[in-house]
Amino acid sequence: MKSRLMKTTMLASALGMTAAFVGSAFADESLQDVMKRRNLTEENVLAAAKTYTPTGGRDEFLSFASGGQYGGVIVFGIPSMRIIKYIAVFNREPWQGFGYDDESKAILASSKTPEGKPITWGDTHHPNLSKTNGDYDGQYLFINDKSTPRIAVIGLKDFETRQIVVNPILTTDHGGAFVTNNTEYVVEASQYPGTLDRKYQGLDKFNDYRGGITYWKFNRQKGMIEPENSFTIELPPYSQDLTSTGKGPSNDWSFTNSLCTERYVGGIESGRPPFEAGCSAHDTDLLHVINWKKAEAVFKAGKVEKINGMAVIRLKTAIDEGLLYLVPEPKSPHGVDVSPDGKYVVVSGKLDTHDSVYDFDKMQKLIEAKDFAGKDPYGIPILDMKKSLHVQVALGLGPLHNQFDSKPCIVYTSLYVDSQVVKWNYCEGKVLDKIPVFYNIGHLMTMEGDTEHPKGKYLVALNKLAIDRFDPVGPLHPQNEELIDISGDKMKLLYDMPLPLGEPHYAVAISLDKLKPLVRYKYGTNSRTEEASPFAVRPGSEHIDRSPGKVEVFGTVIRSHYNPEIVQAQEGDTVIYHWTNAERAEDETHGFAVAQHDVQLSLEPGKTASATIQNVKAGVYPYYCTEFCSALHLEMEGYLMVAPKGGAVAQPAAFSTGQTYTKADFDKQYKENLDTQAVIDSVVAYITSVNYKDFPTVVALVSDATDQLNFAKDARAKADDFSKKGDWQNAMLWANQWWQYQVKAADIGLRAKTYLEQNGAKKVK
Amino acid sequence: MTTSGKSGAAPFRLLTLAAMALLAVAYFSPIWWVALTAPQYPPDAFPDGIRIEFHFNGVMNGCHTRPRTEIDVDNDEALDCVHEMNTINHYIGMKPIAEGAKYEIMLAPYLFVAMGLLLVAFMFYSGPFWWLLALPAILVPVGFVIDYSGWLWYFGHTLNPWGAFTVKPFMPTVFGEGKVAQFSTFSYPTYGFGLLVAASFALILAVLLRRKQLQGGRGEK
Repeated sequence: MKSRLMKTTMLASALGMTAAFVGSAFADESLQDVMKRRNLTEENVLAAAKTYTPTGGRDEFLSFASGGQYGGVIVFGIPSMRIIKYIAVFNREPWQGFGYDDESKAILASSKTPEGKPITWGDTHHPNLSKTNGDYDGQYLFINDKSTPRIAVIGLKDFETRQIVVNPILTTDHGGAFVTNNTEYVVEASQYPGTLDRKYQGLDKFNDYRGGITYWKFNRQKGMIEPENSFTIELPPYSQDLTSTGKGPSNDWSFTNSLCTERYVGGIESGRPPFEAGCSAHDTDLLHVINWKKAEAVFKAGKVEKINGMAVIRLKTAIDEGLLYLVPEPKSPHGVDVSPDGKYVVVSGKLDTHDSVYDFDKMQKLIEAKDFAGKDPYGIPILDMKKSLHVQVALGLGPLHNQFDSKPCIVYTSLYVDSQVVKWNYCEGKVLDKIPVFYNIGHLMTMEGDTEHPKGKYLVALNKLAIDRFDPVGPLHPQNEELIDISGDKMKLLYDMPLPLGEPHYAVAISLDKLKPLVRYKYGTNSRTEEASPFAVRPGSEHIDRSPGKVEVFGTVIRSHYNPEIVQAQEGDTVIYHWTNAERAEDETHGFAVAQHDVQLSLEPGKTASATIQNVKAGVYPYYCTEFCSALHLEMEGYLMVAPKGGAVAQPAAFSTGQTYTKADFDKQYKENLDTQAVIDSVVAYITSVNYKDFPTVVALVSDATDQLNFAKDARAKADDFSKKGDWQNAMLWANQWWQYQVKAADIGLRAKTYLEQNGAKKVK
Repeated sequence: MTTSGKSGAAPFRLLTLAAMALLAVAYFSPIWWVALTAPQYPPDAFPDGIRIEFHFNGVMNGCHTRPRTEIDVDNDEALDCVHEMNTINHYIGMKPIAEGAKYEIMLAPYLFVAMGLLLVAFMFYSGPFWWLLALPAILVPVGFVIDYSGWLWYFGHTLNPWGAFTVKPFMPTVFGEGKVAQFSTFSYPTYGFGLLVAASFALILAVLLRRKQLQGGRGEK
């Protein structure tokens, strides 16, 4: 025991010395000293000052980035570039219990493929926020999964996924999720053509393959997509890509670009040139110009065919109804972005050095006059490119995406091959500034940059490669998100943020003050549906329901216990836990894990979550809290007791606690206690040898310690009593209790001693 | 016994009626409040600390929804601070707040009605010991403080030994600020107590007026 105390003392003093050393070495450093020591330029320090958020401070904007292969969403602050949250969407995520509690399993179950295959990852690409009158309203976030064409709805009251809808007719989607001006529809465009009925058809009939754009109807009151009110427009087998929805005068329209309008089929293994060669043969591809308002009317008029349950506006209907047009766009384009005033559509060429600015008004006039340059092989009218263009501007190599500034006519475009961001004027067609980024930028994002009222200020470059920008961590490198200051004439690079979770393709940023998240749930909420859970119970009415083969627990959790704590079951039973967190204090989240089971719940204040364990095996399984919730966190535990079939179930009264102690145990403890007492006596001797009464802090500590020693004395008397009677069990327990008090007293004493030494106590005679 | 209607009777009855009204309002008002603050309850998120308010008809949540700051959160529900106080108190083995003054709270509606009836009688009765009828209502504030202190002592001295943290039995602060571990405690009367005191003064004045009136009446006889 002495050695344990000694160790504690040594550790404490070692920590104290380290702290003292650090304090004295750096306490007096000036800003100049730090700059010199860390080799920082004035520009570095200025960048730091622009991004540094003082402890406890808030950001100006919150950004939602797709997590790429992670399958979820990454939330970070701007300008601090601090990651604040991950949101599980298509993936299982144990911290949030997503995909582990029964409630979220129900959401993932609804996200299986049309054939019923469960998919627990996603290739998330383009997050987008709900809009009111063309501006973000901070209510919902939408994101697509490219790999299994799905759209998810995330509620921004609690930053949790609440719905996933599966597209029953598309093979993949890349062009999602885009939102119309009042969140009427969430737009999802297919990428690789396939068969809409999902049946096999040989590639020799590739021209009969189809793509499509789905307009998912969003019900804002329910916060849910309504598949029954959604429709898809059938499209030719071009690889449809990104979409931008109209604004202002172009409100009723959406614009989707495409690549591989060559409809080339590769086959490198059989000697055919690969897809990459055949898909970039033409100088132009085709921008799809769609009147979604008209399409909605066609859908409501019932001029649709149902395929796999999805209402499809057939290609012929779309052409006949005059809701679909094409216009040539530069080779293999990527980004298409409607200007904040809705008058221009900016398209990036990717394999062309130009960005092309289309004039919406010109296109409208051509459509009204039926002035077409021709038709594609499927009969869709094609507008003349030259007559539709406002201006074309040479920007650099590999222009990809465009985002707008708060200043009129200013747009920023990412240049993938050049690894640059270019700032230019799309009204006048003039390049204004370029800045290198590190490296190979994909998307870029300005603050609320795809709304009717962009906020300017910052730009984030979502770079595909980091190469040498971060501490080396093996061949798999993090992604590099770079913050750029765009408030002045010249862009300034401020900060590199590594993102080591997946590849964020696109991100959106919203002013922090537009978000109104919850602090806690209403008592007994199923957080996944945001409705009252039928399994919630109040403290005092916890119960265990038993029926043959089933044990169902309705319990509560609060600092620092589960109620119930012991759950008895028989081998083969299904055990269902429903826990309600009875806490109301902010951030008092509890966890729930059952040892050796795939069970991990996150129980935020007020939340009710459930875990089902099928076919339990006989054994002893502790369950415990996985969030360090309080000083008694480790004691927040329970037992799932699974008796073998036919075996007797122990009754609580029969539990035996601890172990049986012998005289030898007692003697050993007793000796330890005496040793500990010697240490305490030496501390007491030191304290009383100095003028401790001059230090009120120490006087208080001494008073506390004296209390503990009095308790210790009581416990010792009891231990002595029982030892006289030869009751070694109780004697040992009391000797141990005595030691507990000694340790507390010793701890307080040592703190007092340290205080006295550090504050110059003087010896008294 | 037959003084009603005479000049000079009105003021003391008006005062008595006023006192009754004050007591009625006080019955539904917070009388005393207690709040805890600690580093893990930052003022921005917990503007009232952990605050509870003592009423005659129970112990109520004294925490409000937090004010709009630079970051806006959904705010339709305030923290339940009675609940939070119980959660904190259980660590030192203190009894749940609902245990406190449970008999008084149960009896309070009857006591208040009885007190009201006595005051009605006081307005009209002029026989021997007439002043006794007003005495209970006059003593309410004093009685409250004595009862409240008594229960605080009881709570501080009946700590369950199974509490996670051993603290020596203590007397919680009745009035003013105190310190328990890292918690600062605040305990002060609030407007309900002011109403009680005002009622007391009104009644003392009423008694004095009544005495003068009765003496005067007897003198005339």
